[in-house]
Amino acid sequence: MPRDWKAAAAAFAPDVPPEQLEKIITSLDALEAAFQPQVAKLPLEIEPAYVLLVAREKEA
Amino acid sequence: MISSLLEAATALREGRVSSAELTRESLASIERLQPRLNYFLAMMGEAALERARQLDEELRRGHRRGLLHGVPIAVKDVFCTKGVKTTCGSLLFADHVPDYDSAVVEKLQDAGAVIVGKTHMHELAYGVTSDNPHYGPVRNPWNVSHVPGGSSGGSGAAVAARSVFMAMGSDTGGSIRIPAAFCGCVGLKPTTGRVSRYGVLPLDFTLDHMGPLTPTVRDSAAVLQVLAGYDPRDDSSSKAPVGNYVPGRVAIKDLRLGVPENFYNERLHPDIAAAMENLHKVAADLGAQLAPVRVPDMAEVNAVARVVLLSEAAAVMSPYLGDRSQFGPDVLAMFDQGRLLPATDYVNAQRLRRVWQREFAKVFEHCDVLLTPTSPNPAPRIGQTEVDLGGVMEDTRLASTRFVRAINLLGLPALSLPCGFTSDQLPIGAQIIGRPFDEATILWVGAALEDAMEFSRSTPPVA
Repeated sequence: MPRDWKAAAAAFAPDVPPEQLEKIITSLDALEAAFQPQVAKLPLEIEPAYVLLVAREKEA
Repeated sequence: MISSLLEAATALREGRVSSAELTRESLASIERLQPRLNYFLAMMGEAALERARQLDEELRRGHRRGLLHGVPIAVKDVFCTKGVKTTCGSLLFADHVPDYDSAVVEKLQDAGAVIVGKTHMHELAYGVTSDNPHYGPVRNPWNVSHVPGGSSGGSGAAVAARSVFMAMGSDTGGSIRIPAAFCGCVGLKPTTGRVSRYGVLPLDFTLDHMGPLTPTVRDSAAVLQVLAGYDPRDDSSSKAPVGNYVPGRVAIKDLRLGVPENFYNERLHPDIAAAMENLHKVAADLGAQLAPVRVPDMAEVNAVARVVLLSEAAAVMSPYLGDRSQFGPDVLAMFDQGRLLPATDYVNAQRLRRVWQREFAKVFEHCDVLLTPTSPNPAPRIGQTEVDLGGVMEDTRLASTRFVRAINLLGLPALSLPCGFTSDQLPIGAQIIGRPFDEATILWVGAALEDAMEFSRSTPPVA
């Protein structure tokens, strides 16, 4: 489903001027078109590649 | 004439030249070229000369601090330098004077380097042109109407002009390799975790990498030898053993150089396609095996990398985005995009990162390194927003990062080295991508190709 970037901007970034919003919507739509089909195929068990290293492990 | 970092280090060690002499030459070169290239944001001239004299005295007493003893270098203005302004090419940090040195600066100084100044860059390291709206555009020494690439554009220009023997860069989506390619020098992006990020103003949390730009491949290897190693102050820092990076006489006979059959040969400037064909011939003549390989869908990997970068960069800058007058229009457009992406996209991008890492690892079952162009296009003109590639107009930023961006997401080491010139004398770069923490092999291959081609000996007319 296409994202409503204007609604998102109104909620989270109301300071973005309308003309700027028009420009970046094109770029965001293109990005989402390449990105969302990948998300649809993601296996449930895949975890983010971002690991918090706790101090105990770092010192080991 | 001394033209490389290792030649300078050897001449210093053998007493054929002093650090004070080299430092004076470096400062004179910068003073002469700064009006044309606009490649430095701050000079450290007096402190550099004083340090050079001190290092000369130490050498006379028989004490050599390390590989870089007495060699004049520069660092991008993203690295914190104690008592010296560090602006990140931004108005936000125009008066920022750190009270500590970044890990990279510490290590360079421990090895005896003389830092002569801070190099100019794209605003906040967020772009590929170094056309900075606040401090003016950096210009390419090969043709001052063209950009030097970015974001480490000043570093690329400084090395290409031989104003310094090395300049440090940072690379979040190609920001070391692109200026290296556009300026005709060598640029090394090490594996994630290989070089500490401590004390570097961040563009991003999981894609930033630190590495050198140098005249030759062996010079980059020598700098990596100095910089590599674990740093507990950087959570991403790795304890993987540090290798021996500086190649001697090298042979690449029977090494398998992967030549992608897809993606990296699409929509190339014709002179770059020809330079890559020539590079393949050079490699084959050296006895390397050219292994045709298919790579995963790198356009998809690039999309994942862009979601990560847009999200993380917007998060870094969120406290400052209230005052839009502090930012140039191109970086502001990127921050605005990042603010609109939902958190689920960011998390899923980090999950997809793991998928692509596994997929890409399979490529290295068929080859030892990958050989690709660094960029599909040579340096664009200053202000040029699109490039024509095979009759398709492509956004300058997206085109220039097309072959390098995904490698940051995957965390792999990659080297850019000069491999030719376009018909209008703009440099062309080739990228060598390696397995994680296998910088030694990409440097080995790079040195062998460099020895055979000698493009690293070329210097621009302004030098």
